[in-house]
Amino acid sequence: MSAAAVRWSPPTVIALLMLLGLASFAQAAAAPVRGGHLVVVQSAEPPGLDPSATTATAATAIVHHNVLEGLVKITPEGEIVPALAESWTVSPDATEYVFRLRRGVLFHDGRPFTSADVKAKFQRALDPASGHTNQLYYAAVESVETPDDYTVVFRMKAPDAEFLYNLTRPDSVIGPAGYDRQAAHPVGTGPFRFVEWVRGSHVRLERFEQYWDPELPYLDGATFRFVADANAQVAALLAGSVDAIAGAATAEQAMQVERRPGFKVIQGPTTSTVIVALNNSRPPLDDVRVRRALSHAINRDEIILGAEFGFGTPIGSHMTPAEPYYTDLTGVYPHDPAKARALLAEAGYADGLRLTLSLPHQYTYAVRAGELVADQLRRVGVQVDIELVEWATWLSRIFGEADYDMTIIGHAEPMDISIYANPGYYFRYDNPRVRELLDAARQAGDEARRAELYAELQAQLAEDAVNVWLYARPYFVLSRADVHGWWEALPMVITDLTRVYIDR
Amino acid sequence: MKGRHRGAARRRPWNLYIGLTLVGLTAAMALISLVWLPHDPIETQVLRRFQPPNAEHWLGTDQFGRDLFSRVLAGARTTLMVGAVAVGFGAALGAVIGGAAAWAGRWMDEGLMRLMDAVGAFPPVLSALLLASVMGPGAVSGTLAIGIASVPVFARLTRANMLALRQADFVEAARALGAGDVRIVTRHLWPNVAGVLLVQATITFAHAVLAEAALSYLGLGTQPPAPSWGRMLREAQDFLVFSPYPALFPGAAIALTVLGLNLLGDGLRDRLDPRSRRP
Amino acid sequence: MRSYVLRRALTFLITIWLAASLSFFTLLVLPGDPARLILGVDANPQALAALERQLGLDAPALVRYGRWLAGAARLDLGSSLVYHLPVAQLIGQRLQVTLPLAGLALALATGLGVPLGLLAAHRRGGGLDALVSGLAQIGLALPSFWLGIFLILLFAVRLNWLPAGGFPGWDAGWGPALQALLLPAAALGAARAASLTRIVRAAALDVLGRDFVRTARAKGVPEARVLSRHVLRNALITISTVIVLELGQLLAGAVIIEQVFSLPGLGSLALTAVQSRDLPLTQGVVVVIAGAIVFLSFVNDLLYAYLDPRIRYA
Repeated sequence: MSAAAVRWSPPTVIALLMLLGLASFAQAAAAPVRGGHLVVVQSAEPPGLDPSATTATAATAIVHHNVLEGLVKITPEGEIVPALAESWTVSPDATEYVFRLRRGVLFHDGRPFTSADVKAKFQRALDPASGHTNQLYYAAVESVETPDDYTVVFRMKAPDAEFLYNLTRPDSVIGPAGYDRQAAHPVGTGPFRFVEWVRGSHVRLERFEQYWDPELPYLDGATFRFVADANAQVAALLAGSVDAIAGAATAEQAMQVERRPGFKVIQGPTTSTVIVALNNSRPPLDDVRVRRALSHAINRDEIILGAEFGFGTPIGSHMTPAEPYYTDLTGVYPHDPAKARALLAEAGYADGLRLTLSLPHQYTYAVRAGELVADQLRRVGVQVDIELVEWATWLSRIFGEADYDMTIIGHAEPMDISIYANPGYYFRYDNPRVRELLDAARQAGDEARRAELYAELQAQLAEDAVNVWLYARPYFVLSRADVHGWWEALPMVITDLTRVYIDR
Repeated sequence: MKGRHRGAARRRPWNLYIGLTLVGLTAAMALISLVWLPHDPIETQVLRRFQPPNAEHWLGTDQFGRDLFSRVLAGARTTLMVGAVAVGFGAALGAVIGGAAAWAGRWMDEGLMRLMDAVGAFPPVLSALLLASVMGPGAVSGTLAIGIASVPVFARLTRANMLALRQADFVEAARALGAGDVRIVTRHLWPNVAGVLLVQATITFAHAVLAEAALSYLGLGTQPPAPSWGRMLREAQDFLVFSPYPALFPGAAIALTVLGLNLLGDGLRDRLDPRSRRP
Repeated sequence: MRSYVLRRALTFLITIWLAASLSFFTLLVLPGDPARLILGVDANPQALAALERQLGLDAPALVRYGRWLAGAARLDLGSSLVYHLPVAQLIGQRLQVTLPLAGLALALATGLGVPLGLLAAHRRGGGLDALVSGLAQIGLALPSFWLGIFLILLFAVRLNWLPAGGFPGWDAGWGPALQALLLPAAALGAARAASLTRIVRAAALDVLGRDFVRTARAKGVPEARVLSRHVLRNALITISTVIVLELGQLLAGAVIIEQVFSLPGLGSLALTAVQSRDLPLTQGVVVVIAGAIVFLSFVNDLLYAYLDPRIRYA
């Protein structure tokens, strides 16, 4: 699969101008240069650095691929390639996965990497009491066997065609068996070893000289510095005190940087699905006509312009063009206020209705999109009360207890459409047909059949107007022009520095 | 005595005049916004965003194309409302606590005043954060946090003045004439404390305006899209490079209102509190 | 004197205990728990329960309160739930930013406020007095964060003279670290300078009106000497006690300025702690900030008593 080309919202004059400005940068194809220390700035500081103990993307951005690796890894094009496993075979019914491990791989603490480490990792991933993140990715695993030091066999309870993909996720990284200080001092097999984490300031990495690929990495080391304010980040980049803004660089930052000589902007797609999540169990949102009315009331182009300066791709269901099996469903609910009013009247809300929109305060794009959504809904007679909530409150009250009407959030996880099969998920959406389609897709050995089933699944979700799908977030790296080797798309939230080099 | 002060007394109380003018301006903005606004302050027009001041949008437009002039006008209402309620709450509760402490004395006095110290030592932003998390963020919890933070200063002031007055001759005289506690407090002590409290209320109002802006800036006060000066500043900060106006005007409005209140407070103090009259 | 100090020290401890207890019980009612925050969106109930046990969150509130109090009495503030580091260590790291920031702001405030206040008092009623007093009023009225935003726009974005935010750490050397603190200190110190100017002016005017100044002037002592010798020295009682209180104001005000400038100080630690429901960390920060403010007012009282012999210890 290759990442789909970036799709543009119908070009308003502004968006078109920006597009022209940004497209003028081409990645240099010169030979990589070794050496140099790179300073990257990102907005958020993670609570810990173990991606199997925290789901914070601030953590995975730093350590995944750089410090910690899994059996397989994903490329910016979305392809699954070998990492700690040299090769693998999957039984035709997708119930047995056999991995041949790379030999001679060392952890940063000098211990050799063997199948025992893999087994220990997945035993933890399967143990409900271990505190391992996202255990449902491994729910189909029956047993993990290690016939020898360099072979691992996963037997599945049921066919799981997504297992390989799940192994590319940050949750699937492998550390030394028995090592329990990953969160504070990560130890892995990656091209960089962890040196220090000064809380509130930065994380410093250094080249791991015994990395299994002797060619890599190119850099001597890298520092991830934490600066929350967007203006401060840009000023630091322009002043030369950092080399790049990565992780969650924004469109307005890109616009400030791209005009300056000596700097470059890399722009691509992400799998972050920004949605107005609806509580499908709470009246009046349990009425599909009301949900469809909301979808018709929304003007995605305006939202993308207002929240992301025109960058971002409108979507019509819970998949982004950067994911496999994507189908374009933006035409299902075109912007049509009259139709929205008619649907509301049909549902018995001709005089309008009142809903609360809870916005996670720490996500600027969500707050901005929310202000526009509120005004657009107001125009069709839905009065919206906005409340800003802290992330902790969002997680427990909205996500945990589904105590909300509407909220806006970007689902950054790639290939997460299976959340719609869980009636307990915070959308509180329950449709057996969706579960059937998902199970069938998971068990389908044939790629074409799978694509068909996923297309049907997306269409079903759009039909039910479960949520109002807004857009796929854009991905930006802003860096000095002499830094090369950045990812051109973001199929997973990683600031992969393995192939980054400085040509100065 | 009179002769010496003639010059000062004749001097016009400029601070009072300017203060009244500025506060009156803010009040007028709030009142006007009730009956007339050039545009709907929450209507977005994304394609018209970041306009500099022009004939149609007198102060320009913000990041969503909303009219800044209308938002600044409507924001005055939010600011004055939050400030008035917070100060009213703080002054009322503070006066009761301070009065009770002064009148009861002993361990009650000690206990209440230590509690006031603890509340006073609590950083207001922290208490606002806690309140917002318990009650949900919004104008109510923001107002309450500001009100609570201002209780100790009113309590201390009331207590100190009550204690000083309790020893005063006219109170002794009233007591000698058989006046009851309640009568002494309401008839004799309170009128003397009220002036001091009024001055403090004006100054505290100024603090409250700044605090409201700060809390809304942090997302803990007034919720969008309702126009609040502090919130407007926060949202404009990310776009400063594209257009400074969305941050400039609400900030100037805050500064002028606070300036007005401070000047008014100074002016009132010169009038009402003879002990602090400056030479 | 000794019993006075002892009594004040006791009330100091009681005040801190009250502040800590207030924050402890407020945090308990907050929605959200740190285990869910750490494990993220797809955590299952068993994993949540396991982590809660591990973090000691399953014990009843009063037991946890007792544990915390017992630790605090031994000067042990416990361990952060999120960072897995001793609270004291985290606070120590952040103080390396906040204390220099407050110190720099105080230096700016004193350096501007004291001379300007004296000058205004000296030229009372004149144009200079009006100018200084006017500027002081404006300084008091400017929201610190608004000032900070425009300082960033001017000095960092447009002129590129100073960093717009973030902190390189003291390891990066004195130069870069101080540069990073200069704009925030200016934003934070402006209102304090204004307040100090007004207080110094009032204090100096008060002294200028007293008999000994008139006597000195009558004896023909030069005006500069009158100001420096007599006026400043006597006004110093008010000024020094006020400066101590200003420091408390600065510590509390740092919370928002640290947000504007992305500084890893105590204020941003406080926000992070509350937002991640990290109870021991929040407790620690509250105790340190509230403690500092109470302590400073305690010092202020002592200083006042020491400097002004008219105050008697009751």
